[in-house]
Amino acid sequence: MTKKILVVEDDPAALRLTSYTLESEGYEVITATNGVEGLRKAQQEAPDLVVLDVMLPGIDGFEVCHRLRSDPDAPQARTPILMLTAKSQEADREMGQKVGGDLYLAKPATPEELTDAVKGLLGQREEQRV
Amino acid sequence: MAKARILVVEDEGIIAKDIQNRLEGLGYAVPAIASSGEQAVSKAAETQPDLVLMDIRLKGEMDGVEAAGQVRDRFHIPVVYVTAYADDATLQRAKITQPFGYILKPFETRELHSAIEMALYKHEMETKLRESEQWLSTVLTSIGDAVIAVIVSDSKGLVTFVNRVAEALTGWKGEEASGKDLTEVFNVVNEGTRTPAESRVTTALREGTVAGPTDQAVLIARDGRQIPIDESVAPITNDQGNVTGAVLVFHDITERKRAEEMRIKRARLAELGAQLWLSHDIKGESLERPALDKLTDGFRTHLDSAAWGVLAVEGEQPALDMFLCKKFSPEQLALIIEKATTALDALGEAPLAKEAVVTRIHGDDPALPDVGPIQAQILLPLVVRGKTTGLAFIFSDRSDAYSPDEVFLFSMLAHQLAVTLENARLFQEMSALDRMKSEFIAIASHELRTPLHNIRGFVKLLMDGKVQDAGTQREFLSIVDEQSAHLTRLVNDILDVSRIDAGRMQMGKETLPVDELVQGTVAQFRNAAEEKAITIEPILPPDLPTVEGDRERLGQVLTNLVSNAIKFSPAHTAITVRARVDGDELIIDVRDQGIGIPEEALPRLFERFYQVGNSATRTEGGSGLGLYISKKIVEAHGGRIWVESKVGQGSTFSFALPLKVPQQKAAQPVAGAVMEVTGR
Repeated sequence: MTKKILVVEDDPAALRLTSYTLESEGYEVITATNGVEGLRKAQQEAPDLVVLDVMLPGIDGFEVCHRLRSDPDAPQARTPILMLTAKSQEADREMGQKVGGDLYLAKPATPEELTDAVKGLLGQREEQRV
Repeated sequence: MAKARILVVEDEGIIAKDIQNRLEGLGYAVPAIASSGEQAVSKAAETQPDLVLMDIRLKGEMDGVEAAGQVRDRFHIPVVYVTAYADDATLQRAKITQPFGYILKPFETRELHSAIEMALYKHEMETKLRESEQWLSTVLTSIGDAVIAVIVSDSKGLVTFVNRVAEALTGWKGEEASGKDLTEVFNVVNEGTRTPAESRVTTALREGTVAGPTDQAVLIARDGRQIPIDESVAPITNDQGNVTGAVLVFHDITERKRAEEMRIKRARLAELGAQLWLSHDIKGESLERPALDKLTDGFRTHLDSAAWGVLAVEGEQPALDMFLCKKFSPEQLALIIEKATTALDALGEAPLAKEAVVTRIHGDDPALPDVGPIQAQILLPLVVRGKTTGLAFIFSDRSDAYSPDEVFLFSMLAHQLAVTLENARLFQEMSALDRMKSEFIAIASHELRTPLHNIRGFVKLLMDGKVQDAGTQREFLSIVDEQSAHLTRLVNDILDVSRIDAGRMQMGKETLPVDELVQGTVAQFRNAAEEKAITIEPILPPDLPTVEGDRERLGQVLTNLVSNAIKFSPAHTAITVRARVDGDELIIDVRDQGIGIPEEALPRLFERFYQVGNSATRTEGGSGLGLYISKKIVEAHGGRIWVESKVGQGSTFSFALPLKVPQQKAAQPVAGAVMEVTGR
């Protein structure tokens, strides 16, 4: 079954990069360019994983993550979330953890690092299910 | 040895002659003989004898006793009575005149001789005694200390002598005090307990010891004045060793006490100063309150001040902190605030707008005593490391404020305060700068990482052969190219900002033809504008003056404004770049009909990394630093930059440069000179 990944990123070049990288690994990619759109699509499309940038116009990535986790009964509460961002200070990593992100990847990150991280998160999910 | 001269007063001529012979036989001289009382007096005056031999019974109105009285009182000549009669009444009368002897008629020459010699001797002794007393009295009167002498009677001391200084201090005149109990005249209480001091005189009298000075005593004068004194007592003993009297010496130590008080005040205030110096907690807007409150207390206690404070020039805004030691009415408070702010005017270079002063009142407590009219003030400029940082002031309602000592104390403390305040301010500035730097670094690194990530990512994909389609390859290479350009701009801008922050941005100084600058920039952007179907035109009046400045940097400013205009303009709109002269400034306006800027964003536009708009426009060329850098460049030229904008209608960014040269076109180019980067 093809996994569906939601990429939330406002920088067009970065979005293109991430989308292409994941598609060339065989994933189905849906995109959002701001926090509100990201939330909506996460709820509507039920992706298997979310790649989330932090610096977004309107509400930022931390807030999106927090809201996704806020309803423990909703399916998104358990969807793996990978934060991919140029914000890399210790405080940012801590925040990422606090709002319920599963992995924090700091830019610059190579396509390989990204795909490894994604596979890891999805692989975990598969193991758990078994 | 001179012969003693003796006046003989005898009304019986023969007897007189006989006495004269006998006297001359003894070796005395007889300058005259008087036969009546009156004559006795006049002859005594005339001849000034050494002694008068007076017959008590004389003819005439004045008898011998009366004459003797006059002779003694007026001329101080000893009188020896000669008399045949010795009845009690006469003797009584005679005694009053204090004669120096009696001789009873008839008498032997031997008797005459010894009576006269004894009388002369006694007179000499008395004279010496009187002179001695006179000398003593003069000494006692003229010494600076107060002296009271007493004699002992019934183990009490009775006053016998009060010198002038003692009279002044006690309020008792010598004659009035004479014979009175010492404690009545010399009313002394113990300073601390205010109970009558155990009479040291009594002790001295009883035990015959000398009591050294004590300074715990307070003398209560006759009029109620209280004078701090120190006193010492010395007993007077007779030959048998019994105490017959005492001498009490004391003096007013008010001055000494005052000096002592001042010394203590100085020490306490110095201590306060030290504490102030050591108060580490330099946070918040001003010094830690407890330290300042202690100072206020100190000034209230030791200097009895009405109010004190500091007027500090904090950054751009002067602030006045007034600490009240007493209760002020609104009018009185306004008065001292006025005095303080006016004083700062006097010492500043630029006149101070009084309305600009932020005033903070501390310690306004209704329980404080009311303040009286202000009698004195100290206004002290505070200078730290050669820079005037403000003014310290203190006001008093005391009529004797401020002594030179107090001025010294205050200035000492005020300077310590100034240094501490200045250090606090520097600390804060440094902290703020530190925070700003950290923030800048955080944002800058974030901004740099984004394009780097993209460039690396695409290059990796291409290198790993993940991109087979040629079209996609070209697309990706194009993105890499664009991201690299963006990164370059970013790096340049960040370096510029670093240079500016470090104060190392040097501006060249040349004469610039403004029209060329504008034309050049417009030409540079014409293509980019056309691509977006935007028109761009210069508006240049004739005879534009030249300005002095850095060609490259001013060009950078113009480029920044024009590229922003293009970025935020939709198709089929127009951009104009206009140069004009207004007063003594050259103004350039870059006007667009773009989307405009919301009002909330306007004040922050020129801040670092502030960006309006979506991320597309951001990556397209903006670093968020362009306007900040432009502002710094313009300000370094002594100019200013501003914006007017309405959402949906467009924006006009303008900057003004001062016209240094008078309005002529031809001017000497001054290439290569360096202008200072002064901030406004």
